[in-house]
Amino acid sequence: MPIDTVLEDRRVLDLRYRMPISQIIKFFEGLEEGKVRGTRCKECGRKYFPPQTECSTCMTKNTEWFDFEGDASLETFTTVEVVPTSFVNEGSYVVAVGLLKEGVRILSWLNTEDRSSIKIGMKMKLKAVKRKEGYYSYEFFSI
Amino acid sequence: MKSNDEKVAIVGVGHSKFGKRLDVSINELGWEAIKPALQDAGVTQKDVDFYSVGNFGYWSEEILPAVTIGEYAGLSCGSLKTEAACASGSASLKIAVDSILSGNSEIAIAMGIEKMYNSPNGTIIELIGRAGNYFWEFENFGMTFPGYYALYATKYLDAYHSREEDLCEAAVKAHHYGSLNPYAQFQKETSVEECMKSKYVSRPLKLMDSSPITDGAAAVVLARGDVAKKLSDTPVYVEAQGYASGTAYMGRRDDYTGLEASRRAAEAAYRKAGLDGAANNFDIFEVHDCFTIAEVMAYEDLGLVKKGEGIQLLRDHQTYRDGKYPANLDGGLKSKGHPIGATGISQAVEITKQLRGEAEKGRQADIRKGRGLQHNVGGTGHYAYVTVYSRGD
Repeated sequence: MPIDTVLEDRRVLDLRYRMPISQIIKFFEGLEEGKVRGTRCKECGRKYFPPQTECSTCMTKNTEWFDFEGDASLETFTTVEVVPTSFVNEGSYVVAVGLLKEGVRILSWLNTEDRSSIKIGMKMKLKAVKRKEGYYSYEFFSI
Repeated sequence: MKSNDEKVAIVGVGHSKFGKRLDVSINELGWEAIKPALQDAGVTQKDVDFYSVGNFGYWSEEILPAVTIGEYAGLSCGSLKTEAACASGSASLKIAVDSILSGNSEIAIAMGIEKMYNSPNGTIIELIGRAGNYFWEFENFGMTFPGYYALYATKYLDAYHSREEDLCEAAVKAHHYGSLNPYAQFQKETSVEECMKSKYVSRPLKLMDSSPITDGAAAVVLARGDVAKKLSDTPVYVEAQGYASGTAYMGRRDDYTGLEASRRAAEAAYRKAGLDGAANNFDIFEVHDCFTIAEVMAYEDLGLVKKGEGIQLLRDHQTYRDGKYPANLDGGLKSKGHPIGATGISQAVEITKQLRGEAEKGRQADIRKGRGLQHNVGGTGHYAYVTVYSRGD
C-alpha cells in the first residue's frame, strides 16, 4: 500500500456551545436541591422528560414542574467500553434506560457495585448527584 | 396506473471504492461516483437539471460539499446538501425524485458522500455519539453510537432468548458477501468464533458487530419516466418512498427491540406502492445493518417475520442469496462500509445492479418479481426511509 499524503490542517476549531436553559432553569435548580424534575401539562396531563415548559399538544404554557420520587425499573442497559474522547477520564460506564414510577423513561448512568448483577427489570433509584467536576447531574443507583 | 411522465427511474449508477480513502479529497471522491453514473446514463453535465448531495459532514473540512463537489464535477445547476444522519443518502434521493415529480427537472442526480477519515478516530466517535440527543444524552452521559444500538441488543437478546453468537451470524453473512464485492471496505470472510473474540465496544456489541468508519461516495442519475425510456433499456423505477421520524431522546421510545420509525416508513412505502407488505413482493433487500442487531430489527420492522423471529432467519440462512429474503448481498454497511451520507445511495446503486442482473459473480440474486426494497435508518431510529424499486416490466 502506498503511503497517502495529507496536509495537516493548520487551523484549529474549538467547538464549545452555549446552550440556553432559561426556560428550564428549574430543572437545574432542582438538581442542586437534590430533586430530579419533569414538567406536566395542567390541561392534558402529558408528562415531559426532557422537560419543556410549553405543551406541544395543547399549545399552551399551562404546565407545572413535578419532582420524580426516583423509583425506577431497568428497561435496558449497556456498558460503554470505547468512550468518546471527552469522556476518557471516566473509564467505562454503564448507561441505562429506566422507567420511572411516574411513567416517564430516562437515560442515565447506572451506578452499581457489581456490574455482573445488572438485570433487566431490576429496581433502581434515580438521584440528583454532584459530579466530581463540581456540576450537578442525575444518575441511577442499584438497590 | 401512472403514466410515464409521472414516474422516475434510475438510468445510471456510480459507486466509489469504499474504505480508508486518504488518497483522494472529498471532491475527487465525489467525482469517482458521479463520472461513472453520467457515463452509465449516457448523459453529460448539461443535461442535469438538479442535484442533491447526502452528507453528514463535521469530520471533513468542506462545509458546502454540494457545491465544492459540483464545481469539480462540472455541475452548475441547482443543488443542495441533505442531512438525515445515516439516511442522508435516502433524503438526497427523495429530494431529487421530488424535483422530477414536481415538474421542475427532467434529469437529476442524487448522490451521497462521506469523508470520515479526514478526522482522527477519537473525533469521529465523539461526533457520532453526539448524533442522538446531545443535550440530554451526550453532555452528561457520553453516549456513543454503538452504545445506543447496544441498548437495543441488550433488550432484544433478553426478550427473545438469543445469544451474542446469533448476532455474529449477521456479521458472517455480511463479510461473505463483502468478500465478493470489489467496492467493499472489507473483502474477507469472517466466522462466529472470530466475531466472538473481537473486543467489546459497548456491551453486548463487539467490534465485529459494528460497521466501520468509511470514506465513500455513490451517485444515481434519475430521469422522468418518458425520458428514462429513451436513455435506458433497463430503467429501475423508484416506485414509492415511505418515511418517518422517531424521537431523538431514547427515553421517549416505547420499544427497545425495534425501530418504530422504520415500521411506519415501511407501511407508508407499501401503501404508496400498492403492495401488501414485504414478504411476497421482493427479490432483493437492502437493510440498514449499522450493527448486527440493526439487521435483525430491520427484518422484523419491515414485516418479513414477526417480532422475535428475525434471529431465526439468520440462523436458518434465509437472508443469504439462495434463501427466502436475500438481504445485503453487497456486504451491507457492516462489510461494504458505512460512509454515513453515501449509504442510502449505495443501497440504491446495489438494488439497481441487482434488478439489472449486473451484480458480481456469486452475489447476484434470482430476479423474478422485479422488485427490490431498501431500508435506510438515520441516527438511532431518528429518521427512517424505506424505498420500493421495480424494473417496471
